[in-house]
Amino acid sequence: MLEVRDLHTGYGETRVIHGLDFNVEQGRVLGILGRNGAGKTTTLKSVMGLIGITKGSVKLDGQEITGQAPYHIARSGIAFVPETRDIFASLTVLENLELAARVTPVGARDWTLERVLDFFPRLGERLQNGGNQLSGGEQQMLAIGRALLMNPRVLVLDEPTEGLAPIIIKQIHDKLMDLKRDGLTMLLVEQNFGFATSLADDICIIGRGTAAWKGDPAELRKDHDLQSQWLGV
Amino acid sequence: MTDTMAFWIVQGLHGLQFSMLLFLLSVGLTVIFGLLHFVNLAHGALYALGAFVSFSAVKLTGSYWAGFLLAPVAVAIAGMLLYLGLIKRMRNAGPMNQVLITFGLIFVFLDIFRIFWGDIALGVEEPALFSGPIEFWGIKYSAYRLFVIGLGIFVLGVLHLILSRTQIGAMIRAGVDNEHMAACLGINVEKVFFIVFCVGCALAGLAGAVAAPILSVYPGMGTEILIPALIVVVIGGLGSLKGAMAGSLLVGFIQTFGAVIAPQIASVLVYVLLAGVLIFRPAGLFPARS
Repeated sequence: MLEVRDLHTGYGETRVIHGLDFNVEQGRVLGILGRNGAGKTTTLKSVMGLIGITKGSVKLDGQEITGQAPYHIARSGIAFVPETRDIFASLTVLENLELAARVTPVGARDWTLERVLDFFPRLGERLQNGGNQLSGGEQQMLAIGRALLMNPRVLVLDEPTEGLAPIIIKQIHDKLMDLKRDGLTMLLVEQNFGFATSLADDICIIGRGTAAWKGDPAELRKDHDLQSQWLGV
Repeated sequence: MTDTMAFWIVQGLHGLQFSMLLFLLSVGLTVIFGLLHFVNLAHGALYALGAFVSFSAVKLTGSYWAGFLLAPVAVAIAGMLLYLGLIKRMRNAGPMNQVLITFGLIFVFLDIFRIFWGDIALGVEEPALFSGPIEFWGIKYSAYRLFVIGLGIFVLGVLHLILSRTQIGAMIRAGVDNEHMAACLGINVEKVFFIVFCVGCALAGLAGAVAAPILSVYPGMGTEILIPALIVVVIGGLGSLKGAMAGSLLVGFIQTFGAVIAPQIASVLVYVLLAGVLIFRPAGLFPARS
């Protein structure tokens, strides 16, 4: 569904990714793993159009979206939950959600404000709070809820567990599991090995700027050599 | 005379009127600063353009209100052309290049004003509706200046409602907070920037038209008010409506009362305030980004 071919990208002179391929298949979760600085976030930002791509292509449902403006890519159906969550501090929780609901990509309107508040009841209690008055876990819920309100075809998550307490990580995990059962296509970047391998259907490890290993999460969990070589687990 | 109550009330109203003029000018400047990270030094020149357009419109039609309505429109169109021709290309060129370009524009505008309107200060009549003084509590005060105060408060109210209650307002705030994330929610940030820039220019034009009967119209009027307007922006905090109003009131009152109470140091006072804010609240009094 989301197809990345021969991706070359980086910051200015610094080439981070050179020749990366992966494919997020319809209704499946692709987990991208890799060491710190391997270029995972850079890859996601390139997919979203936030960083220019030097070479390669990104296709959504066979449609070329390479080099398009981020707002265009977002409208075509990719919702992004960044590592830093990026909740708008000067907007209330409700306004953060309403802004996302404005986008109506082609396809069914599955996610409404009611359904998101049903999914994350905590947000319902916080609707009038400012975006800067939320705990880390609440921010993450809002970032995911906001992305869902865009009714995306692909949900892109960058390290959703970062900086969160184990109990919150468990909650987020369960929620993403619900979404997966619901058939939502997801692209997940994670440092948390257990979290990623339990959620993902397919794994792609980024190393030396390219896809170092691809395969089944169960296989990766058994292969300790592979883990220490590419992940340092 | 200086010890009568009436005198201080009149000075207070003067301060308020000057503050509102500064507000009309700096609100566009600050939002463009905060949203586009663009330093538009030509904002003062656009204000002067508004005053000149209003002068010509009044001369042609005989009605103040023709200038009042035409100036914002004409300046918004001028801003639109500037944006599409220059500023859009300069968006990622870095602050130094932006400052140089818009600084150059100041001189281009200065010469345009000299060529078309000459170097002599021109007068614009107050509208008949607000001509002459109004009397209240035994004080006589210019009706037109009261109108300027009312207009400033009205514009503040309208902008506040738009920013806090409408979707476009939420988009603008989101864009000031985090441009990239706003784009990831499908917001065409560039288009929002363009609209905001044009509205900011229109307000500068309105300020020019409104200032014309009070300050008279001359080529250097834009450069003269640019410095106080920039100080307002820095004191208030980039990109903040509340900051623009607070900064305008502070600068307006300090300049007005400074000139009466301590004329020897009046021109320094505003800079003392600026230095104080930069030392103790470097982000301004009401920064838009918390």
